[in-house]
Amino acid sequence: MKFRIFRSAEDQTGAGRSDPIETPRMGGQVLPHADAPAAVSGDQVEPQGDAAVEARREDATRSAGPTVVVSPPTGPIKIAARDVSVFYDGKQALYDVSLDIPDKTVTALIGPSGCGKSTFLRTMNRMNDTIAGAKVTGRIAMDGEDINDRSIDPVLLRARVGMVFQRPNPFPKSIYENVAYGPKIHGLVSAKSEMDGVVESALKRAGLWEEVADRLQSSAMGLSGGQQQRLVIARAIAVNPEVILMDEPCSALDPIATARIEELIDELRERFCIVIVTHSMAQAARVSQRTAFFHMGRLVETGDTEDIFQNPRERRTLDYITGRFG
Amino acid sequence: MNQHTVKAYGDELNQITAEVARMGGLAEAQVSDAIDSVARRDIALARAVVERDLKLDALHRDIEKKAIRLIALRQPVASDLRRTLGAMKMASDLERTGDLAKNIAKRALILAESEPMQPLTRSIERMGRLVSTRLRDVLDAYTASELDRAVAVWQTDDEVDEHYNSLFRELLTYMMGDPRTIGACTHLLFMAKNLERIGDHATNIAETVHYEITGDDMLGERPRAHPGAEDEASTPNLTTSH
Repeated sequence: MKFRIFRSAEDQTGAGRSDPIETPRMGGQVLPHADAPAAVSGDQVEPQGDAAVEARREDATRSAGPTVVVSPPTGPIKIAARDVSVFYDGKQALYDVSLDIPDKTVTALIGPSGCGKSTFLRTMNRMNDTIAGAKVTGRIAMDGEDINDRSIDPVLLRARVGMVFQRPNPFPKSIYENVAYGPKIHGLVSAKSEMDGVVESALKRAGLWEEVADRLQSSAMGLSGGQQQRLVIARAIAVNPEVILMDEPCSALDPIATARIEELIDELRERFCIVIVTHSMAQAARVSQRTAFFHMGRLVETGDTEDIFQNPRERRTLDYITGRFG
Repeated sequence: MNQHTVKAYGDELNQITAEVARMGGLAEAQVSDAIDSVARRDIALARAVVERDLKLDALHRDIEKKAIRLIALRQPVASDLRRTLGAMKMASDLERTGDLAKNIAKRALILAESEPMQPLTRSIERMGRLVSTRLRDVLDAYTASELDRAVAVWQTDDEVDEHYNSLFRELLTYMMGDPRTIGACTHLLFMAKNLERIGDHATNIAETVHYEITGDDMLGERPRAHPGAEDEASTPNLTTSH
């Protein structure tokens, strides 16, 4: 069950870019191409030698902002962002963010309010397209392909890159229909019996099956907050996405429901690339393997979570994680 | 270092550090008083050292309690976590240091009853001064967060071992020359061993200070003194590993 969201190669050739990134230039500088460092297939591990590090350092010095402390991830890169900037009505909210997001890993984006972490998260499934006056520049490549390319259908992209929000947002329909909705509209499933299987497996993977198996036809609105959030996750994974974006998925939940979601995230990372925005540094430390720290619209430091929380290399990161900001 | 947004958090951390520094000062005094009590055959001072050890034990418990409370309530990370754990480790090292000083003082009480052994007690005193200096240096390095000073202490651990080895030979010579001194010499030998252990605790503290400041372990091998080659199998490995 794989979507064909990219047009055929013929369509792409000759077709220019549609939007502000018509030419990959910013401030007269040629942008590094995102597809170069990204590994295309899952088992093809990107060489992470000195050369790769060196190349990234070059990138960093080339961009206008202050140097970003980067310890590159190991393993295949799912999403490679290069010099991504976001403007809302001409006001810049995100400055030249270059970040590699590895596959089958939980990457946490942390930082104070307004630091750009949610804005960056939204660039990865083109949610900013839906905001009037928002403009995204730079390049974001998923498996080497530019997701902002004109040939990409954002709706299909969002099926590949699912999103879970802060407040659980189930449809005011039955539990069953909530999960079945995605596979139905994308035409993934035809027979009813097959749909039953898809719904059951999604609910099981979201750790909700046991609790709702006997009332699939009752309204999703009758579930508790934590159950609703897991339902939303089930809905997201029912269409077999590759990436799941989570924007503070636990901030409206109690500690037990939070622990359930965190356990779920840990299980899901075996199959998906997960990016989570969280205000809780403890949660970032608990669930993620990679952490990226944002401040004032810029990426400040990224590295393995255990390094970031034990011995960050950048002063501002240390100040933030130890509670010295303000 | 910037202030914590939650002021009470910063205050609690500072309080733990201050208490470790105070405990360090006390342990330092215990060691040097214990040595003085040996050198001067001062029974009153030796007794005072034995009694004051209770205070070190109490401080140790207090620091540990405060650190555990801070971990439970504040969940420190990175440099704050290292500072908290460092305080706990240092408190244990200082508590052990105090125990060893107390043991020296107790032996001083026994030695005071036998004939003075001037040249030997002077050797113990010299070794004691060296160990005291190391302890003071490393505690100063801790309170001032001076990495270089801690590393310097760590690198010169072999000086203490050398002292210990030569004292060991000196004592052997005495005991072989006059078996009546064996009792007193054994006490002196244990004192030397205790001082050598205190030196090891100073080295441990240097490692803790290094970890607290940098977040990394000390790298590289410390230069090691080897026991004299002429002492054959009968000589145990004189330096304890730590």
